[in-house]
Amino acid sequence: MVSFKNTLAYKADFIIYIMANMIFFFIYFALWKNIYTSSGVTEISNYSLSQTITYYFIVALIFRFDPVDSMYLGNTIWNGNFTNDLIKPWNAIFVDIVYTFNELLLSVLLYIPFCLFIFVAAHQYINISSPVNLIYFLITLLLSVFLAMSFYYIIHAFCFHFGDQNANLSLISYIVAFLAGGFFPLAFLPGALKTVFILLPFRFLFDVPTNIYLGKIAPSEIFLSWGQMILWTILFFSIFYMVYRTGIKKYTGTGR
Amino acid sequence: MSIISASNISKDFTKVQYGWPNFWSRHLETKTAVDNLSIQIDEGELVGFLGPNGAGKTTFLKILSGIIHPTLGQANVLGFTPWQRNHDFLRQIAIVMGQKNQLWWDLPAIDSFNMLKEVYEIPTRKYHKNLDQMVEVLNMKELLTKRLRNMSLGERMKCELTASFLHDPKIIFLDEPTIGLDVISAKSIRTFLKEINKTKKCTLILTSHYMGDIEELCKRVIIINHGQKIYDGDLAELKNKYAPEKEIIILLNDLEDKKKFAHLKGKNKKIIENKGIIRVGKEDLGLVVSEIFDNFEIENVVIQDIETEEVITRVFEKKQESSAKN
Amino acid sequence: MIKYLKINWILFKNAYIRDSKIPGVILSNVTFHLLDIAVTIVFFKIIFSNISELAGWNFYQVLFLYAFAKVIISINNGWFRGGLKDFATELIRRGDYDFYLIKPVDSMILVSISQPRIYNFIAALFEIGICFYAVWAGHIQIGLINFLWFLYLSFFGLILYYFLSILTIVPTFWFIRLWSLQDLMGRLSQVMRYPSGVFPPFIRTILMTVFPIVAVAYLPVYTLFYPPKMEYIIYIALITIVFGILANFIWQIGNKRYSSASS
Repeated sequence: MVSFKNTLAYKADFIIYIMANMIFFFIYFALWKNIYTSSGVTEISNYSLSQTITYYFIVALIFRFDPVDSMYLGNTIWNGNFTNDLIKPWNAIFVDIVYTFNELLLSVLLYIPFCLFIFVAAHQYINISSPVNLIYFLITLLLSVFLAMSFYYIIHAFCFHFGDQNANLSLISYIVAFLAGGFFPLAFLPGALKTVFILLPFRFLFDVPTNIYLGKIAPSEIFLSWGQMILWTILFFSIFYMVYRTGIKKYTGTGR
Repeated sequence: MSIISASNISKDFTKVQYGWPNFWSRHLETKTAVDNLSIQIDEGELVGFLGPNGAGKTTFLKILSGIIHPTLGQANVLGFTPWQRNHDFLRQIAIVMGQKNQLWWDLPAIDSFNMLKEVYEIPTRKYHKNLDQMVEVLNMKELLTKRLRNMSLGERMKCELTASFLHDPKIIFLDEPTIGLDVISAKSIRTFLKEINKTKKCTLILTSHYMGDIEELCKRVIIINHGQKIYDGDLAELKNKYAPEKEIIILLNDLEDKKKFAHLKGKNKKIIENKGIIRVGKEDLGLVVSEIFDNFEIENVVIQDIETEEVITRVFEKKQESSAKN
Repeated sequence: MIKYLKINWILFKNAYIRDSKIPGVILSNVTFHLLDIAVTIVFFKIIFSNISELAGWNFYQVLFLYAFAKVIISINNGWFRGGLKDFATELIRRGDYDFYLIKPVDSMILVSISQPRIYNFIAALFEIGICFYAVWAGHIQIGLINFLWFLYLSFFGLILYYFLSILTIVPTFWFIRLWSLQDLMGRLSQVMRYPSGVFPPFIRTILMTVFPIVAVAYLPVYTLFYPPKMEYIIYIALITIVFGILANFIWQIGNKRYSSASS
């Protein structure tokens, strides 16, 4: 509730932020339409024009679920406000997770009108998923949020040891978005590079959920993906927990 | 001749509120910060603005310095309309806000001063003369090469004051300049301001909640409450009008002293810890003092005016009473 | 004018001293720029593995356009973005803008130049390097007249980008905190990296006139590669002046509306 009110205190700011993110979709829409029509090809790496456009549509939506801007643990450690969480009778990490989910939920709710606008504007090129694939997509999306959070929590926990991580977080989230297929489908990559990207867990954040939506992944592979996502999440969370435990012993509670 | 002349200045702040749960309904919420305020200030005066929090003092100061536009009214400061922000006008004024910094946070003080030299187009000789004078008076030679973020509050305030006086402004607006400062720093700033007012004849307009600032610096005070002027005149006259009595404090060493104090003439008597306090009107002062000196040692007696804070409080209460009656 | 250059010099000098004391920040930011360039080059490679030309421009021409657009953005970011960001997020909200209003200088310029970022200029050097690489590797022939007109149009493009940034910031006077418009500016800046022919005619018109972000980089680079068009040369000067007047005008209206903040 607090984060809801906080965000709505500057309503125009938030709404324009969402509108700005719509531009991301329309730029790529114009670009790929031009590429497909001028080259005369109907498919690039098994992606038709509508599948490519749908890919960007879904990725623009998934970006709303990206927790990197909603997580505050690192900031509170750096400015000393983490002390307030430590002295309260609650689990500070759990509170941060709940807060992050609130922010994400709000972000998604406010994005829905814009999502509808994009759909209406480009509906000829946007595929609608089957109900089954939609359910698989939503579950994968939820798992991807946990995966992303567990990974970014490691970076946040580095605040205990190395100070302010904001600059690093921006850099890392950009790299992750690239590795995850946030800028283009990973299928477009040349062979060797694609192999490297597929080995990393970040593809589960954008590329895999989007391809599930597009129906490009068989159900058996989907379940396998879920298994891998859960394993990676457990691994990242374990690393975070170790860094956190060692860090909390060093924490002095002084602000910058 | 008045250097500052403001007539019927009013300032309203309007906020648009959207309804809940009906988002389409909206209503305007207006707060009047300054209400029909008129003042005249002559060159070289040192005027104190007093009032409770939210009275409109800072808003009025911001109008006179041109930071914000009034809703109604006119003002003439140094021959200019302040909110037109003519550069010739801005070169002749300065503002110091106790709770904010105008100097660049990451720059050493001297670099901020050098930049202000360019901003105000101060001739080099004049700049160095003023800077050397400020450095000497405020004793801040070692602060020149320190970055603002590494300074204490008192040090920052010295730099802020230096920055404000570099271009020899004719008017300086000071909004709570001693807030948060320790006693010694506050004292040195008051001494500095008095000196500057005397030597450079610049007009100082001061708002403060510290009575020490007002008593030491200001002969004239303007009291504002709810955006309206409720008093404009001499501070001494204010005390005479609202608190004409004197306060006599007697040190009571033992029970015997307390018994003697209890038998003294005078209606307004109280004992706080080991001090007996009597308030006496000026007409009865001679008699009461004579009786006190007959009963107590002279070194244990202090005769003083009522504290300015209490005087101001009485002014507000009286105003509230008359508003309630109306 | 000289006054502003002197003020600028002092701020730049101190920004250099400040940034050089925290090399991690410079390294991090420059790395970010280089990474962005690397990702975009990979993306361009993917595009051009399927087509030989994008709206009539080959790979190296598009690479040059992208790198040049980044140079414009980096110079603007290094010079003005710090101050404008501070304005959009803090100055109006906290009322610290009071001190800018009280100075006998143009408040818009003083706010803009108040927080330079040296690492952006370092990134610009890399981006200029990529421009040279694109010309060399693409065997692009450039005439002296083209180059001189390119410099002329680049100058106006740089200033036009600044005025467009101002227009995205100035609503802060009304909305108090509006950093999202700078984010909008960042997003819109991405259209600068593609030839204007990529966009449908209606969108292209908007991006060349109503909010002429495409004109900033596309017109100068077009003039470098192709015979200079007089209409482009006149248009960019005119549009820069128009948007300069507009930015100034709206800023002055914002100044009148400004109501400070509680102290």
